[in-house]
Amino acid sequence: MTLDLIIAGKRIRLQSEDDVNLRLDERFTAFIDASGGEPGLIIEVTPEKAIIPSEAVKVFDAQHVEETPEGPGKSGEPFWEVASGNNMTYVKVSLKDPVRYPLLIIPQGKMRWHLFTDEAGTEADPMPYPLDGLILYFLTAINGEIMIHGSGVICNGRGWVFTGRSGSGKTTIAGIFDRNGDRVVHDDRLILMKHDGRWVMHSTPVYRNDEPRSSGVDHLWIISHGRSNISVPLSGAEAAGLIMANCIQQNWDGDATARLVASVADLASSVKVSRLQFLPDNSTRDYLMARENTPAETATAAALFLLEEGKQVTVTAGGYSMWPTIKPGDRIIIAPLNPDKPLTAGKVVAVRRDGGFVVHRITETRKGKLSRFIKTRGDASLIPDPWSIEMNVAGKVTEIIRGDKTLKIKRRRTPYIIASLTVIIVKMWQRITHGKATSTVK
Amino acid sequence: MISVSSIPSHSPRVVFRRINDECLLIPLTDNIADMDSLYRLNETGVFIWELIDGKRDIRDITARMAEEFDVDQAEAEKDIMLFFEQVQEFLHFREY
Repeated sequence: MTLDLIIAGKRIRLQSEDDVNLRLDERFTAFIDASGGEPGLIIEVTPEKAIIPSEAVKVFDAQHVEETPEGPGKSGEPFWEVASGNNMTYVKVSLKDPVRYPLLIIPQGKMRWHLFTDEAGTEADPMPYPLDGLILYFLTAINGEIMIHGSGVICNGRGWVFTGRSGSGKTTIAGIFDRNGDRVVHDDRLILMKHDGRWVMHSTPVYRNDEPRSSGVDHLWIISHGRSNISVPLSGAEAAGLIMANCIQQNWDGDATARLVASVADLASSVKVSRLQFLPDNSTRDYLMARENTPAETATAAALFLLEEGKQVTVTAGGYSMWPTIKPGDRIIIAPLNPDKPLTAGKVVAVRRDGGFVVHRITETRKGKLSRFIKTRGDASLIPDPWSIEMNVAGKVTEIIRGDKTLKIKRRRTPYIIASLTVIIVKMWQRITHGKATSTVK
Repeated sequence: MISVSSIPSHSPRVVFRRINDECLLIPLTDNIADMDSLYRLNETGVFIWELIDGKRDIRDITARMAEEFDVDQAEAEKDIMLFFEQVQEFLHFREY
């Protein structure tokens, strides 16, 4: 018997001997495809028992995790394990009711896998939980595709992904969009991959009524419940680290981990990433739509215009490049330049760059034949900015407002920041979706 | 015990990924229960990490750091020792 599933655009062919009937749970129904086509993966299913050969070495162990009100707790019971040897990866799953131990054998580099379901008779269930998720994990890990705990929606033609730790509100937020008539791609687990240079999200079969859905990704939010709706843009290692923390991963295989983090870094640099605190009501949707429809350029252009008009402007700092002189969230007062007072090293200025401006400190000035040049650098940065002509300086920072305090610009501190190690706490694969038979949104 | 004459080298049980000026460090593990943290190093942390080559001792690394950052050697040494204590699970140390 042959059964094809298409999940995240990948055709997975389940194959068995003619006298063996393949039986799939209801959650796969909408993913079955009978149109034929070249499979990306073939899994040969045998309803017999197989064991991990003694020469293979256990490389990863996962015990049963039970969700308790205090958070996940280990029961100590075996759940699944991975062993490696003979150029094969062996994945053994421990199932209850009835007790059986399916074994998936993945020959290295091959797209024909073998599954022994450990069932007597002529019926085989090739995709019991959690084996289905493990198959998807190993399949996506080959190309560094991302399986993530997250919900995805399409609002006004934009694809938004919400990810966060267990209890952060992924399903809640998807429900808000669902009630407003937006399309929900999935509210629990997504596969993210790059198609023709664009990041795309795909649904995965988790609940009884799931179906294949996809959308491009425009913005990814790391969510948590809050007392108001606030979003803060993230970038670089912070954005990538927070996404990585919510990805489904098995960190025993350095190559697979390296591929995943490379993809996550690409995702974090290709789509907008923000941290979002939200209220569990319609105001979140209104807030996100209003925020998305206000181009950031408008505020920058207005500030530059006012400075050119000789007016002082106040902007809010968003990054760490001038830390600790200027911290994110500080309001910075920028005054127009006084043409009679030449700029000197040590002054903090707003320099036009890429259609906006950056606020950095002058480290050096140089007089050219026609104009003066300045070199700038963020206090917290090791790398100086390129030289720019003085005309590119939009204004000079005169004051910094932090909370209700007004701070004067201090001289630059020693350009040495203690090497810091930030721990991004995660509880990753342990948060396996289980127990909810039907998605709350659709 | 880590000292200024210890020679650090990277452990193969960690994945390092540079992202702009910073990096992520992801520890490899054989048990799901231990898979609870990943780490982010700032720019200076990355600078030190990239000086680790299994040949330089901590004293050499401190000297390079002091040179690059125009910081007092004693002050740099104090911070670097603290850094090495924090990241020691991702490194091996040997004495010359």
